[in-house]
Amino acid sequence: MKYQPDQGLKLLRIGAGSKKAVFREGQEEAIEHIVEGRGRLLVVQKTGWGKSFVYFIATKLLRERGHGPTLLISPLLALMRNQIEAAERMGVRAATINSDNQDEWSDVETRLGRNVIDILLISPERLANERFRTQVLAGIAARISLLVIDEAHCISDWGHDFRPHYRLIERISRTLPSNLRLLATTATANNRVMKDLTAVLGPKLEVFRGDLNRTSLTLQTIHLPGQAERLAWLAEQLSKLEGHGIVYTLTVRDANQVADWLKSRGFNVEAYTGETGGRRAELEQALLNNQVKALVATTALGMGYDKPDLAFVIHYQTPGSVVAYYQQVGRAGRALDTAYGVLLSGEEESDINDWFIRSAFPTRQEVSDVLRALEAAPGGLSVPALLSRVNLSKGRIEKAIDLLSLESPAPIAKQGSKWQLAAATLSEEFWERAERLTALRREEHRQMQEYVSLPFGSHMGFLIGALDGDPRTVIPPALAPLPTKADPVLVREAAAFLRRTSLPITPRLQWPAGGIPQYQEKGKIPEHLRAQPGKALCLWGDAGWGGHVRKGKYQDRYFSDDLVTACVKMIHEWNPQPAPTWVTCVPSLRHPSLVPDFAKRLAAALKLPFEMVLLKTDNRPEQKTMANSIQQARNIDGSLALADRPIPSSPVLLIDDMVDSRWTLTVAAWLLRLNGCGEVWPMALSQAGHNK
Amino acid sequence: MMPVISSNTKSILLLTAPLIVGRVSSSPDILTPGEYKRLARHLREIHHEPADLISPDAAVLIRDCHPVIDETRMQSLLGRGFQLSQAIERWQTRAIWVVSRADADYPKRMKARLREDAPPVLYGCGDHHLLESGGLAVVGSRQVDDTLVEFSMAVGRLAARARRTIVSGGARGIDQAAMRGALENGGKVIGVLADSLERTSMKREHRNLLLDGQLVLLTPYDPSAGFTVGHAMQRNKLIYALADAALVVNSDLKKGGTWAGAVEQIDKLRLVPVYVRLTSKPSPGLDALLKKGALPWPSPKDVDALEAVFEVIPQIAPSVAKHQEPLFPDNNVLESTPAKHGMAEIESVKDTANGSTSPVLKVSENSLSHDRNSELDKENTSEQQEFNPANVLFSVVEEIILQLLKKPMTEDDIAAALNVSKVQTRIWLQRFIDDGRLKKLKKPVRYTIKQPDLFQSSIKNNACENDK
Repeated sequence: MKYQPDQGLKLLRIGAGSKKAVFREGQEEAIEHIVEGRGRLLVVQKTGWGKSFVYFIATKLLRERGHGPTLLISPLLALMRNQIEAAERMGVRAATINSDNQDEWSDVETRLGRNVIDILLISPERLANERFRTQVLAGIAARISLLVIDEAHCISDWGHDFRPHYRLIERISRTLPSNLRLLATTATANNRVMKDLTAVLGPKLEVFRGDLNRTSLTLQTIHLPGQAERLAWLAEQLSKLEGHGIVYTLTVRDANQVADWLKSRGFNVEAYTGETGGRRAELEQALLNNQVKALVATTALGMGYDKPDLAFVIHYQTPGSVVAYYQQVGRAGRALDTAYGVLLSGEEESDINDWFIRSAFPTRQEVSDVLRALEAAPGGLSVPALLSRVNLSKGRIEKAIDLLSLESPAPIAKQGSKWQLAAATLSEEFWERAERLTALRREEHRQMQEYVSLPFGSHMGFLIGALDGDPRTVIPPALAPLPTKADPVLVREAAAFLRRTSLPITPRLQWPAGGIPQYQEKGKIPEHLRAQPGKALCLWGDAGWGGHVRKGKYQDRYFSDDLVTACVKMIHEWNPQPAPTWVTCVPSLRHPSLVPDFAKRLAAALKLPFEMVLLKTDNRPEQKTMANSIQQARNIDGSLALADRPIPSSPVLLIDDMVDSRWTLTVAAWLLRLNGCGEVWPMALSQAGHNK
Repeated sequence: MMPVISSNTKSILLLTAPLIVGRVSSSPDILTPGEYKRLARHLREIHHEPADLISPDAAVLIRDCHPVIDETRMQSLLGRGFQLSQAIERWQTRAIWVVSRADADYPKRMKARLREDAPPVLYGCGDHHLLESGGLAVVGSRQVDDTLVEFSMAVGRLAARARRTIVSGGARGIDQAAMRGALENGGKVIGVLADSLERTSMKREHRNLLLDGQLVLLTPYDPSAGFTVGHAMQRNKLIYALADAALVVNSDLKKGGTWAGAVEQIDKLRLVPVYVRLTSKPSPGLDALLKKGALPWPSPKDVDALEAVFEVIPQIAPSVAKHQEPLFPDNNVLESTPAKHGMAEIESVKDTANGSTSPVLKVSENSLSHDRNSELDKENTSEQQEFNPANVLFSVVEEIILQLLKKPMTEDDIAAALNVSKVQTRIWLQRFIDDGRLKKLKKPVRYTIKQPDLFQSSIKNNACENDK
């Protein structure tokens, strides 16, 4: 079908909301290429160039000639809201199906059936979802006329941003007949990635490539080992920096903590993470409208977010790769003359990045545990059933299943709600790929460390070079470097802030699936036998008290008096009502005095009596060796009892050092209450970390 | 094994396969085997191959095919590219492969023997090399007693010892007994399924056998497709086509798939020597087959004796001999021109299907209707067979309509004869047309039966009317 330039331009002007708008270099050529069905096309352009105009206008033109709808696969659906608005101005009816809008699915399905949707946007995960594929997609699969693969670099094993579900897209791309229109887009593709993409999408792949340089950016790296120093630096610089920006952290917890700190210093900031849920759109909009100074975000605020006047991007920790960093920092200064991109580097980031690298793939042991459990169950197993048979966390089991089922042929397949062994074995290639990717991650990490140590003025050249771009376009930074030290007074305040945080312990309401047979309990825990909401002083190994607790548990075998003081302070702020009138603790055969000794000192400081009323009757493996909640519940089942002495009938403070699945505290509270004790307020020194 | 799917195969799948990826929405207007045959022939004549239909400049070629297949229909079928990728993905993750006649991996016996009537695509699970191993086809009915089960298992065991593959239909009764006898003794087995390849290959008891290359499952129907009588019938021909010799363990007289398949071999196709089990008591079905020219099974007790049954060459039917002239001078390859593809697969067997038509048609016609009865009876008494009322009803409808339409009738007349609404009549008729069971005549619009493609001969031979 022939492309009509006047129609394309008309749509662009409607979409851009400007009568004078003209196509950027390459946009119209791309639209023409797609509409006329000249073969597969890869567009490599930095974010903000306007890739969405290409596929929205192409979709509109195709639909006007009676072609079927477009399917767009993107990991960034949540971030496409403003693009979708532009599409709707052009009369492109867009709909999205993702895990956040389940209530709209049936409506979207109906509209798809009526052929009144022009472009359907889905995530790669949705595409892998059996129900979605068989129920929703099956209805329109025969009519799809254009497939758009966003963030196509993820198809490549060498893409910085390994997403297992792109394995599926890779295979689908390979099997697509050449007569289906296909557009792949990405902002970053170095030569290695390009080679992979050509292998997957075919030798006849046409490539339109723009340049990478962002001349408005002033890049800088600052090494500040402690979190308190970096918090102090942020608080100081944020008050001086003009405009609005993003502060990136590596973990959700860091995002929340940094946001809390900045708020406590009077800044108008919000945390934005994968756990933000329904507020994400609102927060994106708040930043777009300059209603917040900054969002403190994880990579959940990802590649597609487009705010042309973003004045700064600051990293609280070093990201894992040059491409990831370039994508994030490249969000600043798109339509500004100058903007800052500052990377703060700290001591904990290597541990975090290392954890991300190590946990990206299941281990051989994990895979063999899962496969063996399935082998023993010819009828297949659901994930909950696997949890009770395999001593692995839910996350690890799901990761193993995810990656195994994305292989082709897959050693396991889902029939109904259960996973079953299929007529294929896991190829050694799976492990080779895992090893190759892990090695690549380590190399990328090393490259970022090199970036951190660069002198001011040489950063952009390094990034462009690493991305196989053209370094000749690089010009010196326009802005002066920011200070590299933090104010010592602020650093002390930040350190105090880090120690002030505490974490809630939510009471369990129900016994685990299958109950706890030795205590002969199952189902709901009666309200009067439950624990009250509790508190943990810190997160295992965190920058506040975490280090102290770890040292006390494994090195000194003694929890310091500083921890006693910190707990007293926390309990006063917490102020549970009705207030506990005595203190007890969880017993241990392995370390019989560690926790009781601490609890006695804490009781003394609180001026409350300490009573040792709980007994450990059976020496079980440590709870931390139990990898999921069901295993931990079974492990504690029947191993606690009450000493043969009267139990005070008033409220009690129940102390333990660590809390993870909460089953120990749940069983202890249940025993106490069953025997006439008043409210049980659990308190732990530390909550187990995320690396479980 | 997971061969890369060729462009020819993709194109053939787009044209002929339902590509079931879940909820079956409105059934696509896919080409019937007969229609595809005509299209393949047309492409060959204009020196093209199916892959050309999905090349970027296919528009002209599709227009050139308009005399054979409507242009818009072709376009909408070929536009199912994304659905194709979804279907392939579903198959591949379940270790199901697909080959088309245009592929070198397509079973050579099948292509050489059935030529244009070979299914355009085959789906399978397990080591496809097994499909080249030939072996002994064992056929018989689903409802059998312990003696016949033991007999069939013994045949399977002996074949295993002789390292001869057992080829069978995977159905209950004789099929499964022979297969089990072979498999339990380390033998190799080809199971030619009429339905549910996906489900069957996921069964745990098959897993290790498929993985170890002992068992290969094969079907010409979509891996998700369920049971239909027509499929079960048409699959018989494929069992014979993959084997070197065949043994009919039991058969009804003039009804049932076993009978129809065996008669077709003896009278018409003569792909392999057909043996029948020797019985102490008279068996009308087997006796009739013997009379038609089947060979008595020598009841081999050892490997050498079994080998002897493979050494018989099936006689060429006199009627075939009369028609030595090939239909197409250059039809050595079915999907591509040799010049274009350089495919050097010269098939030595010439147009076996040129032989008798009408008498065989007559037989299969009868057997179709009778077989449906017997299949139905069997299903009703069967617990394992998956069955639902809609299938029962449809089978009855199928029988009545196919009887009725020996003579062409209009839609109104059919509706009147059945005393059902025209809407319902149309739905049924469309389904038969989609299945390739009926054809539509024009001016005035009437419907009449069309022989199922696998039983269909290329040309009419009136001389054979006399055999009736």
